[in-house]
Amino acid sequence: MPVSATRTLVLMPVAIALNIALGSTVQQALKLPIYLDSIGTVLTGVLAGPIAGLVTGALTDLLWAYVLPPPLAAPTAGPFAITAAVIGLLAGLWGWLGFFRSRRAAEPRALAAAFGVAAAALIVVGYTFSRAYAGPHALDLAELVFLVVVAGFAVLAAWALFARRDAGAVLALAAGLVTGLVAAVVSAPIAAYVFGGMTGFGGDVLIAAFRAGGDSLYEATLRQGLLSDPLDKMITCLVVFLVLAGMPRRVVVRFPNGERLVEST
Amino acid sequence: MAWGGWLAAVVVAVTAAAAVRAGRLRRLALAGLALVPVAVSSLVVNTLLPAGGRGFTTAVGALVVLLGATLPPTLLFATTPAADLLDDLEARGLGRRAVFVLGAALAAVPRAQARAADVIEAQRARGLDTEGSWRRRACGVLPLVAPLVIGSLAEVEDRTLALEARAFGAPGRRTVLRRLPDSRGQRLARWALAGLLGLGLVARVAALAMGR
Repeated sequence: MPVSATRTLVLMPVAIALNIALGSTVQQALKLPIYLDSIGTVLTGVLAGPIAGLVTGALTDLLWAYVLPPPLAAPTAGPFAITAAVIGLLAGLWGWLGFFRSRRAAEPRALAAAFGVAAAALIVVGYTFSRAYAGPHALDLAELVFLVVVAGFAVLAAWALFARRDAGAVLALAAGLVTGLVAAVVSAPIAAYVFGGMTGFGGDVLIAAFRAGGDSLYEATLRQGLLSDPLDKMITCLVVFLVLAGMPRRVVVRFPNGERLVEST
Repeated sequence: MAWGGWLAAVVVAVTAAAAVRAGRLRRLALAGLALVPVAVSSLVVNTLLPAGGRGFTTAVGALVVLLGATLPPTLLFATTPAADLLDDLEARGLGRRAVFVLGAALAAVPRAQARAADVIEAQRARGLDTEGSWRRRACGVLPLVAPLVIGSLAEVEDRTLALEARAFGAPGRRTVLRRLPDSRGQRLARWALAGLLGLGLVARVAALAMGR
């Protein structure tokens, strides 16, 4: 077995522990409406590929739900292992495509790539939301929050381009946005049919509001997910990008996707 | 309540009886308590909301199904040390890589928790605001996450070298030195459970096919 395979195997349990520590301790300390429990999964996928990301995501939720003792255990996490696995799989794809590599904003090619990927991501977002919020019962609030998500993307992308001068961060943000959309679509049937739409978090109020507006259970959970997941995964991907950009090159290149994550010199 | 709800209620009752016999009822009760936010949320939405609710029975049914899915694995890990389970799975053919990932993850969680608590305290001592406005708290994400992630990746490097030095990547199966006892009764119980699982799946598919 090559050393890089052993390194990947060691990374996976460390990332699982990181997910749980960030999702419980740090999330509680900051009291922000973001989960932070996918950072280890995204990191593993980006560094070690889609299969490692998939396994890390799935095992995180299964261990968190069924194996860890109270008060650390989160029984509602178990069925969402499917969503976590998809997030890890996508992160592996983004890492393989080089979306988490730093790119100097002054280079025309890097700038063109950033604008191209951002435009593609926004088209996907626009299409998804036009389908999800179509119909007579859609709440105006949902469309407003969707605009907040897009504005958040625009502000963070502008910060990356003009303050950090790194076009690569825009690609990572776009990857997060698309990952969030997919996560919301995968989570919706789980939340609807396993939990009856109620998972004990703040989003339950929104689901109830959508239901009161006449939505079916599936529509309500999908619309709630589309409001929270894209923002959360955008921040997750940006944090992973910034951490990787700040890490020594020799550490990053030792992982299977490492060469795709560092700037060529 | 639908027949699935009644079946889940039977599973919960059997699990509770097994927990009493094993002296692990407290652990099971704590796992049940962790579902209180879901229960409260479900009851409030389903019983109090005029248009969004589907009634008390629906709320209770969903909660019982959730308990039925959560409590049996909780009892399994409350009565079986993870190390024993992993050893036995390896003896039955599970690859050493999978055993390593599961075992190392369980050992790494308390370490990561302790490290997270240390980082939070250290950053607070340096003036990080975790109680102020949302904007100030949002600024704390990177100072808390980055040291944890970088520290974890440093740990990966150390452990990789240690494992490679101990021939972790060597080909061939490891010799199992510790065999756990497996009585005839346990083997029969496992086959019976597997049979029940198969029957349940067939019944579920048949119900779906009949449109119920």
